[in-house]
Amino acid sequence: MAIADVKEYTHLTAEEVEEIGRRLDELRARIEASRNAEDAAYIHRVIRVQRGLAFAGRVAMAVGAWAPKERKAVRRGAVVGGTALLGVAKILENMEIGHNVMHGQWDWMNDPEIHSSTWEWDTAQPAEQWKHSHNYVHHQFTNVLGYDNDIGYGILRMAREQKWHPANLGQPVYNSLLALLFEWGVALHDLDIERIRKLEKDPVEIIFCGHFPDGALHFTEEQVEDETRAEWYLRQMLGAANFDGGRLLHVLSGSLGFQIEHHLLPDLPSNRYPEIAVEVRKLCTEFGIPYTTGPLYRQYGQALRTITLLSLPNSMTQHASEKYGAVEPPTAEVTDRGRKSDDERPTRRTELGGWSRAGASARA
Amino acid sequence: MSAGLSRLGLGAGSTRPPHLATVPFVATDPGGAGDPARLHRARVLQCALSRVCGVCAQTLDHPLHLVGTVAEADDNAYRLPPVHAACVADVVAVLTAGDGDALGHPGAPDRQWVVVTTGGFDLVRPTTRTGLHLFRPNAVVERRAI
Repeated sequence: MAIADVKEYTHLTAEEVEEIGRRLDELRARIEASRNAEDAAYIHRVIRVQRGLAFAGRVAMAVGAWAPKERKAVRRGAVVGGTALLGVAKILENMEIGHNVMHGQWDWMNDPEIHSSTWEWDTAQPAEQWKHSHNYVHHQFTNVLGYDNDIGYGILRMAREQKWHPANLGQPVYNSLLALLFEWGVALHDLDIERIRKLEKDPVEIIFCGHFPDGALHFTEEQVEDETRAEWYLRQMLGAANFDGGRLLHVLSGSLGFQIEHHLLPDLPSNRYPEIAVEVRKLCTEFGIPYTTGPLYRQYGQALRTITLLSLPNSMTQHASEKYGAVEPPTAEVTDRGRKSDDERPTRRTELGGWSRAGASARA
Repeated sequence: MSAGLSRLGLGAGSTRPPHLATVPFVATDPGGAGDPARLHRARVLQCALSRVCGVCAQTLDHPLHLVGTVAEADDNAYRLPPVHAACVADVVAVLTAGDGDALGHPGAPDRQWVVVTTGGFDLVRPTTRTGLHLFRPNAVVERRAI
């Protein structure tokens, strides 16, 4: 079964799939051609703000440390304020700046300081490793069970197709710990240094809202083999979910409230996602494709509900199977889209996502 | 980059795994074996997305270098992923070793090769199941014939 055979697609003819691809190509070309000084000014502005916040936070902390001991309110206020400033600076650094710069969204500026090849960040996972696990594994094998380690980060069961284990009963707790220790969780989830070094292996809230609310689908490896660009676009649209919010929330979330647009066009400047989203949504409506979005609280609530429900065996959650069920084979007649037979396909990739593949291999 | 990771070879810069000396990374399979006549499709994609060099598989630096035929340069669409400045010579050596197939380029006499230096590139995914991934430089600073 190919991605275009997933039931959400079966009403589309091969020509319609190609037309969707063509329209998204046009959209991409239009944005690429119109990247300009305003876009460059945007990322420079965000970096200036981030550095200003980090500086102000440190100054505030220093004031708190040096203020006379009897001025407790000043000391406490400076520490709280400084911590908040440093926190916002870190959020900006990791999300709107680091994440997007390392996708190559600003490489076209030809600025060696703001470039996917040279950017490094102050977080547990080095940029080089992150570009492998996120840019390549997560974005190429988005929501593919057994490949994409972002599905539960190796410790959460996020799809009914993943085999249940009694340890999954603790999922709500693990999720809270993962949220608290996220940067180390990200660093560890693809860490197999020895195999990466030998080249035997190719080298929480926002993230979960982007892929685990109701409506965002998971896929199997058979569904991504030999897909065309148009089919890849379709898989990205169905595997991601947006959340609504104001401009500030979107900037602080690294523009991942536009998760669908980010997965369709990950290397276009993030400040253009709002205008891209208008067109993508229109396209989805026109072709009857789900466009999953909603307020942040609802999207996160659905992700939490999924985590909680899937902490239980499938047999205890049958009532929720419609919402959380496996991707079912299509019931409608599937159009022949010229895919290769199994014999004609290349050998399966074996080197990716071993950690989560182990948990996903058995069909519950 | 921590000292520990550096010791393990991650981010080791120009240090090249010995088995990649003759076969560029982009032509190897997951086991490390490869055929310099062909491109390995998954490796092309890995280089593009992980932002690693098509020859040595180490993180790219700035600027990037794309090597291709004159026709590819004229179309602004290259088949090979970007490489380090220091790795250009390696990829050119493979491409000019003879008139036969080389790194996904069909054999032909008198092929002429070009190196383009660019700040960035746009990845173009294939529209067909067997099509090629292409690299479109988007901040060209130099085009040089080989």
